[in-house]
Amino acid sequence: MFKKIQKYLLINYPLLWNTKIVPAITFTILFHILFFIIGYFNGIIDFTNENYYDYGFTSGVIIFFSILVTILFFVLWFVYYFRNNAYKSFYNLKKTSLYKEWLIILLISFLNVTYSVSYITGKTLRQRSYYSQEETQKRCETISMASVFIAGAYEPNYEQIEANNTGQITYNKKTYPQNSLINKSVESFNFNPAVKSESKVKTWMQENNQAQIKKLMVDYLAIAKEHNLKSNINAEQWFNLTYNFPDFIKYEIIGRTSSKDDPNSYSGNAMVYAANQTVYKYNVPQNALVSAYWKISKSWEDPIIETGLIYTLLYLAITMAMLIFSFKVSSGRNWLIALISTGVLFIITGILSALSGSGITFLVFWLLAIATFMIHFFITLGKNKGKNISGISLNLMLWSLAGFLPIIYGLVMEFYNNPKTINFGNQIKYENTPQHDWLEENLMLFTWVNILIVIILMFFITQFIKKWKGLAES
Amino acid sequence: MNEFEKQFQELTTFLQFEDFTILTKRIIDLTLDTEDINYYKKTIEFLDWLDLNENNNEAKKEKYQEILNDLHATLKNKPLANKDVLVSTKDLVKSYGVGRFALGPIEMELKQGEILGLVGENGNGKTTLLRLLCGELYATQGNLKYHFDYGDNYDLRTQLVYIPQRTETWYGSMFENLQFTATTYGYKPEENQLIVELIIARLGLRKFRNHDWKSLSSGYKMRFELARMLLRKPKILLIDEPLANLDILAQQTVLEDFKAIAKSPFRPVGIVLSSQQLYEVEKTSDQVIFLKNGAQKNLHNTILSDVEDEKLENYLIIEFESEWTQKELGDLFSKSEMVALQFNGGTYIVTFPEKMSIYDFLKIIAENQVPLLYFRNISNSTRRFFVS
Repeated sequence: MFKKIQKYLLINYPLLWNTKIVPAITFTILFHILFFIIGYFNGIIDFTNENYYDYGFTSGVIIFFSILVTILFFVLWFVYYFRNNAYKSFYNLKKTSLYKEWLIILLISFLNVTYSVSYITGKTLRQRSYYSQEETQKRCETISMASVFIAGAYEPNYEQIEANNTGQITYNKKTYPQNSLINKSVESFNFNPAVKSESKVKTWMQENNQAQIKKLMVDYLAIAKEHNLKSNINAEQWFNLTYNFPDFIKYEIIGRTSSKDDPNSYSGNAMVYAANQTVYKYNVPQNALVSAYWKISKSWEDPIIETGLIYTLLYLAITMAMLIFSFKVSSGRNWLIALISTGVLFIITGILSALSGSGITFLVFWLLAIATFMIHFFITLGKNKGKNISGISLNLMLWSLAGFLPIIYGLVMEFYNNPKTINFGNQIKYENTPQHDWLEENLMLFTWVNILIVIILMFFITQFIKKWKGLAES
Repeated sequence: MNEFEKQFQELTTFLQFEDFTILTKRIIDLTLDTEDINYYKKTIEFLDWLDLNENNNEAKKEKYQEILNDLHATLKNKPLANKDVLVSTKDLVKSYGVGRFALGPIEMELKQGEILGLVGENGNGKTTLLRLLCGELYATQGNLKYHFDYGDNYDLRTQLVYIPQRTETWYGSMFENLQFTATTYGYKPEENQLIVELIIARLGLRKFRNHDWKSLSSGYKMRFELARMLLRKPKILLIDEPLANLDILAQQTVLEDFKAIAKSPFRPVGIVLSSQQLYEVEKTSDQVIFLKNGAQKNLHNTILSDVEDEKLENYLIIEFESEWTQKELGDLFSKSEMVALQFNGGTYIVTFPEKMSIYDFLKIIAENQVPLLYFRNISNSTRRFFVS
């Protein structure tokens, strides 16, 4: 089938044939699907797993594999893509031909740096598929509130609880001994602010709302039962063992697990550390529930794909596209010299910045360097003599194109950076110039706009590159 | 009789003498001239038929006649191309720096359908001149003018095909490479395959279409380059040492191909080629430029760089090979006012005054029964520039 499609493209759309876009995109899509499936299976939650830190594949492994696939892809793709070079052979190309080629390279590069996105999507979608956001929130709240009556740390929310020097604490204007359950922290989940569930359950306790507390325990054990998790007490027993109005100081510690080896014991986590390493007489499957619901709540917390990740990957794709494109339009020799020059420039700027002790030196140097590459390239083009070393400038200009405006933005931001400390009574407030604040606020917007500008600029630059190719070699 | 009719007459002679190989090539040329997909199909069918009926001379002749008539009927009314000037130079100089090699000044003019031969010893600027003409180098002085429309430099260079002596490697299938060129040059999808088939057949590459670049001999590599060039329809073809590494037969075939390509009545091309094969190039070229240390010496032209050459112009100069010694020959020729006799790597070169003719020379040889292996009148050949 590929052969047929390629044959069709060969006689109809030579650029699409040359860039091998159909096999390339098929390859990448297949690997995206594969990464999605791996993510999807990795998103399956084992509700009996008590280890909070067991995430299956770590992101490191996924990144490693995605880089491996990317390298494999590019090696294969280059073999076929670099076979023909109409531009180098001075074929009769349309004005926009090089621009289209760059866009194709950008698309292929972008698809190749985003395998991890498919993995994350697969994983998140699988985890979200367990319960709706509302249901997850409700369940997390139940587990969170019930955690007051289960072994755990005494590290409550100190905005609501005040400790005094007599060893007592005050909650909601009432004083309790320090070992009171009122002083216990609650389990927190990602999108479910602990404060809310904490104040809810502690208010019930303070108001001696036994019905609600009992219902809470019933709900909790129902969730556990749904996941086939065992506890050796029922709700009634649990209530009797732990509920002791009004001071909540007489209670049995309810274990978090029936297992002797708690995998989380030595984690160093304060909350878990407090959960002790002993096996309590009575226990509920708290470790397992927290571990599982923490993952589900996390999947609902953020958008599936974060904008930050997307634009980082976009910049990565642009850089890769520039590296590939510049190789194709100049020569291997120019490309290599440009690469070495970049290394040398980085060393020089590094030393200069270290000597001057200011980050601005680095930015200013690079701004001047990029401007020099651009000016040299365009002067050579204007002179209409030989190319000489302008091929190197072309490479460097293309590689640094996406960084040109951000450097200016950074310098302007630095120019307006004039932080002041203002004292408000006993509070200290930091304030900067409005220009700096505005630039900081619009940083994200600028990042997007810069990408757009690079894409637009390339439309014109590719036409100049074509003109430049027509220059004599030397 | 116009150029087309003249060439067509030649083809009928080929048929008469059953010179099928060259006839087939010229039929393909005419087919390409029609720019008609129906003719492409017909000729390809004919080529396939030929493959199966190689020894059936009578039927072949009939078929050839039929296809020739058919092509003639279509092409006789097609307007012929003009013989416009393509490129001219005036005092063109390329210097590689003070005290280093410099080419020029070069003065030349190339018209559509003309072949210009560049000859000269190694390192005398042939490749430099070719690279100047194709835009790969820029001139340090003088004027280089292309007399056809073009946009920017890139556009100009698409119209000048330069085939260097060491061609770049082609990757992948040869046929696909050519199809890619054809598509990029706007051949319609339905004619793409046909036209590539025809051009491959034209250059005798049918057997090699699926070969690897690396498995091709340098002669065939050049043929593939020529095939690609034909698809690109350039104004000027510049080709560096096309005869190097070719056997004598292949040299003649290639030169004949150049001639056919350049002299096409409908799509003529200007060709500039460099070579060491003096006689072969002289036979084919319309003008020859001899380069010595970068300086130009013309043969058929009045533009001559030094006076000494003008003096030489009218001598009778003969190159020959004989078993006799230089002394014996010298004694013999001095009776006929011989100007010089040089022994030059196995051959003799004798110079007589203008009043002597080649018949006088032959008479001396015959009368004295001088053993003669071969001789050549080089009075009008750049060969004499090689004589010190």
